[in-house]
Amino acid sequence: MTRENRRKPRSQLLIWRRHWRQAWAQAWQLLWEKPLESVLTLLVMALAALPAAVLWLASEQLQGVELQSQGDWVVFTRTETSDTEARALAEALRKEDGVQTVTVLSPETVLQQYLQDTAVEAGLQQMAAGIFPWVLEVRATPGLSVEKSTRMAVDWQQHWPQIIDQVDHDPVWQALRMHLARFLTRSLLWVSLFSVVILFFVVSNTVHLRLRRHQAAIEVMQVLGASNAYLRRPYLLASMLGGLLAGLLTVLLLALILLSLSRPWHDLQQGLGLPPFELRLAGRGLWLWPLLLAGLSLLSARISLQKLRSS
Amino acid sequence: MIRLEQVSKRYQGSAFVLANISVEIAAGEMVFLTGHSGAGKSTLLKLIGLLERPNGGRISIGGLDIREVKPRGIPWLRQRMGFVFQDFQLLDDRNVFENVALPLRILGLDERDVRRRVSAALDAVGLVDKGRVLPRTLSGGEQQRVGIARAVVHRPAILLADEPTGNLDPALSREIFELFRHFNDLGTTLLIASHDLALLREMNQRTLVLEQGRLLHDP
Repeated sequence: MTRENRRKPRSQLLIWRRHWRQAWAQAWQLLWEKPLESVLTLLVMALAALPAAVLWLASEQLQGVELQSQGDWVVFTRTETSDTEARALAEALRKEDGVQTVTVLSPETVLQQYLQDTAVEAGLQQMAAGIFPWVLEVRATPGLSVEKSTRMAVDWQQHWPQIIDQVDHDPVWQALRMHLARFLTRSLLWVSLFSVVILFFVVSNTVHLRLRRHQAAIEVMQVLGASNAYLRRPYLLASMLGGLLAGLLTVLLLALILLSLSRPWHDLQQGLGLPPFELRLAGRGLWLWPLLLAGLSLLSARISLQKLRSS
Repeated sequence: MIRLEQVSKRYQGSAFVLANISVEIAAGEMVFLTGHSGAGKSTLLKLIGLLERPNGGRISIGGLDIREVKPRGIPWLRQRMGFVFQDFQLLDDRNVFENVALPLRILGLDERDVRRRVSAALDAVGLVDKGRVLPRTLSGGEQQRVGIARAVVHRPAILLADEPTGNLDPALSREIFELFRHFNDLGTTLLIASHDLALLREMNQRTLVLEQGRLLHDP
C-alpha cells in the first residue's frame, strides 16, 4: 500500500536488528529515568533473593564439599598392606552398592597430614614413616540409610580381615548430616518460593508503574502501528537487566555478609569444637544467581505485560 | 481504496453511533467528513483506522476486508496509514525530530533514511529548523504541523485526520488545510473530519455529512 515501501523491500532481519537496538536503548532509559526508584527496586529484589542465595550456598558447600571430605567410612589397612593390595581393596569397594567414591591415601600422604596436624618435628619423620597404614576415604551415595552403612562397615571388616585393620564409621554424624541436608533442601525450596513470589510482585509493580508513566506514548505508538512485540520489548529488557543487576547485588551483599561473619564464625567453631567448615563465595550455583534472577524477572515481566496489546 | 458497506457501530449499553453507513473513497481522493458533535465522525475514522471494530457491515481497505485481518496484521495495516489528532498527541519527552521519526523507527528504517525523511517532512511543513526543540515550546499551529509531519513521514497511502484544526484559529486552520491539499496532490488519500463549514466550503472538496450516526449527504 505504501508507495515507497513497495518499491524498496527491506530485509526483515535488518528491521528486527534495528528494533532490538532501539529496545536496548529504551530499556536503559527506562532503568535510568527514575534512578532512585530503580536503585530501591534493585535493592528490594536483591534482599528478597538473599536468603535463598545464602541457603543455596550453605546447602551446596555443606553437603557437597566440606563435611563429606573425610568420607562416610574411613578404612585403615594393616601397616604391612602393600600398594597393590590397598588399590585392589579400593577397586573392590568402588563396586559396592551404596559407595559413591573411594579416595586412596598412601602412608606418605597420611604421614604428611599427621605432621601438619600435630607439628611433629622433622627428625621424627623417618621414624614415623613405617607405622602409617593406607587409608581409604569412602563416600556413600546420597540417601544411604544409617543401618545399611553400619552393616557395610562390619561386612568389610569381616570380608577382608587380612587387609582391613579398622573401619571408622560414625552413624550419628552421618544421620545428623542427612537430616541437615534434608532440612536445608526443604528450607531452600520454601525460601526460594517466597523469593520468587516477592520478585514477581516487585517486577510486576515496576512494570505497571512504567506502563502507567508511558501510557500516552504507548497509545500513540499503537496508533502508529507498533506491534505487541515492539511495545513490550523495552519493558522486558529493562526487567531482565534489573534482574541481572539485582543478582549481582545479591552476590555482593553475600560477600559482605560472609566477610563480616568469617571471624566470629571461626571463633564459634573453635569454641564448640565443630569440624572445620567455612562458607566461601564459591560454587557452581552462585555465579548463575544473576542469570537466574534475570530469567525470573523476564518471566514476571512477560506475565505482567500480557494486557499490553496493540490491537 | 476505502469501501464501507452497511457499517454499524454501537458501544456496549448505548444506541448506534453509526448505522448502515455505505461509502466509497477512491485512491488519491480528498474527502471531508462533517456533522455535529456526536454525529459519529470520530468513530468512522476509528473504524477505518482499525482502532475500533464494527458491529456490522464490511470495511475494506485497498481491497482487503478488515474482518479477515488477524490481530497480528493490524499493526501492519496501521503502518500504512497516517493519523492526525485534534490534540496533536505529540510525546512531550521527545524533541520534534524524534516525534516525527517515530513511525519510521517502528518501520525499522536505518538511521540515514530516518534523518533524510524526517528532514524532508519537517521541510514540507515549514519546521525544518525546529527539529531539536521540545513540542511544548511550540505554538498550537506549529505543534499540529509537527503532527502532520509525523503522519506523512512514512508516506502512507491513507491519511486520517480527526478535527485537525479544532484547536487552531482560522488563519492557522487554512494553513493546515493547504498542507493537506499539498499531500493530496502528491497522491495521498485523505479523510478529514471537521466541523469548520466555512473552511470546507472554501476547500471545495467532496464532503460527507453525518447526523446521529447516519450518512445524510454524499455528493
